[in-house]
Amino acid sequence: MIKTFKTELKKIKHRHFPLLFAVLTGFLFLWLFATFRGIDDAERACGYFSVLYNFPMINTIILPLFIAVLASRIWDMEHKGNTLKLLCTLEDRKTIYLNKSILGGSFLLLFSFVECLLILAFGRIFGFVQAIPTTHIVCFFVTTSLTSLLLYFIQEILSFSFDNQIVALAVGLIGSFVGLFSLYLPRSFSQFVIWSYYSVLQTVGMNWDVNTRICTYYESPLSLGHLFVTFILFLLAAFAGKIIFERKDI
Amino acid sequence: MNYAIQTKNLCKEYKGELRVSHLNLNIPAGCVYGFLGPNGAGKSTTMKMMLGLVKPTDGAVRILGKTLNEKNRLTILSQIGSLIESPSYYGHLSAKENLEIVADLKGASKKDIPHILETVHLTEAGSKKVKHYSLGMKQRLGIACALLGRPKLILLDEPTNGLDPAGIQEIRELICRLPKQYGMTVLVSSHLLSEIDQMATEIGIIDHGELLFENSLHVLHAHSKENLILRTSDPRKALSLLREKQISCKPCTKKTEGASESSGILRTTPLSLPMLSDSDLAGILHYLLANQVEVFRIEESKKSLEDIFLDLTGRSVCLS
Repeated sequence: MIKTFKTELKKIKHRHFPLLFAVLTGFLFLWLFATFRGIDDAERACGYFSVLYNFPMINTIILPLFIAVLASRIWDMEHKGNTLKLLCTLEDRKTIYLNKSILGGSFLLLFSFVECLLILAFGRIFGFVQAIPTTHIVCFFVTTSLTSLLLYFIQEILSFSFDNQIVALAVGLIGSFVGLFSLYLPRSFSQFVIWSYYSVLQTVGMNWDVNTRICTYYESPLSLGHLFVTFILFLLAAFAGKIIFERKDI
Repeated sequence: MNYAIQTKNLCKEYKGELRVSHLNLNIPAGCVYGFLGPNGAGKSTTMKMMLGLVKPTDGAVRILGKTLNEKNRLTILSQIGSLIESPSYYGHLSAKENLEIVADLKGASKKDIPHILETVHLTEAGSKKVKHYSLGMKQRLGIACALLGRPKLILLDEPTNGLDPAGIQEIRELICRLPKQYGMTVLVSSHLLSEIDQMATEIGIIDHGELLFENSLHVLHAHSKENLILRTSDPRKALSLLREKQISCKPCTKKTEGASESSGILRTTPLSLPMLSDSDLAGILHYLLANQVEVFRIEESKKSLEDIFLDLTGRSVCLS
């Protein structure tokens, strides 16, 4: 298993995964940097909540597309070089699927971790006076990772099922739009849109007073029901991917 | 006889249609076995079933003495190299990096990589990204992947597809060398009879999923023996005169079931005779003339492998 995973790492050489990762992280950093530039003391007092509120929204916009690109780049090299029929004579299909899932999943877990580090980094850069909300950051890490993994398994199925990656990328792009759009609709609607789960599962809410033009952030309990549903969907997507890949004609 | 591959009643059904039908192949160890058939005959499907890439609807595959099943598939396949339909490669990596990946997965020594690259004449281009290779070079890389780990058996599906004449010749020579040089058994498929004729020692002909012929190539060649074609003014009379002289001859007509031989003979029907010496032929001609049968034309005819192949398959799309 370790040996075959190492070959998976060798395969992604020259595929610019670190660059993709760096561009996304840089984009996130710049977005939030522009948002927080020139904040006042009142905003510093609830700075971490502000980041924890903004991050899920930004993730809803960019991560579905990023995950589609990630899954596509991991599987596309097998389509382009007709390598699946060679690989399937050297290792079993379950191992191929597992290795690719671990590879993509590792990138996403790493990305969630980097986002948590960015939250702390912003606290230092902008001098947040609020105490570090550890529980909220842990919740953010868990919910972001779980939602990303669910979307990754769905994108994986599309990426290995279709030689032409435009289908998988289109679904990722549409997912980004639908996810963002659903955030403007009542929760009773957005809870059925899996791409919006970065926001559905967030633990910080915001009230915007139109008259005073003041934002107040508040703690919102993690919706365990939605977390459970996400976890079940994640398991189903992972299992469905395995079954579909094992039955795929090569 | 020791067989590298045997299939027993191997069948594959797609959408209610039998693409491979009760195939019984016997591929002797240490030979180059030519698997010949027109496009769509079922060659690739059969080879994929041998590799466990496609699940047979019925029947069994026995490879290197063991019956292939889901449990032992990878153990058996570790002794097999394959190139199915088109070469497999990672375009963004070099040939060396591609071979390193295959070596890791096969558990083969990476020390063999320079030698394998030399064998397929890719030493100089070994560090170049494969996406910049020509089709011929990719094909050679595919064969290099198959050769890695010195497998006992190699399956090559149309390995010369898309190659230029020089590339085809190169691959042919390489395939012919493998049994002698490394003791490998090679199963090579093609829709080109001339190609199989130049590489194989054993041959199997498949069409519409059914095995039409399987034997040594020299047995197939024996079918193509020369004969004489005789055109006379009275074929019916000539036939009876020649048979009186104990010469086996027959009219070149398609025999209709239930009809007598003589009923199908027309004035223009030529007669087919075995090859005769000059003196015997002179005697026959003199005899026919003496009996008022004029001889218009005598020609030597050889049934080509193509003719035999066409007789067997009834298809004319696969000749070159």
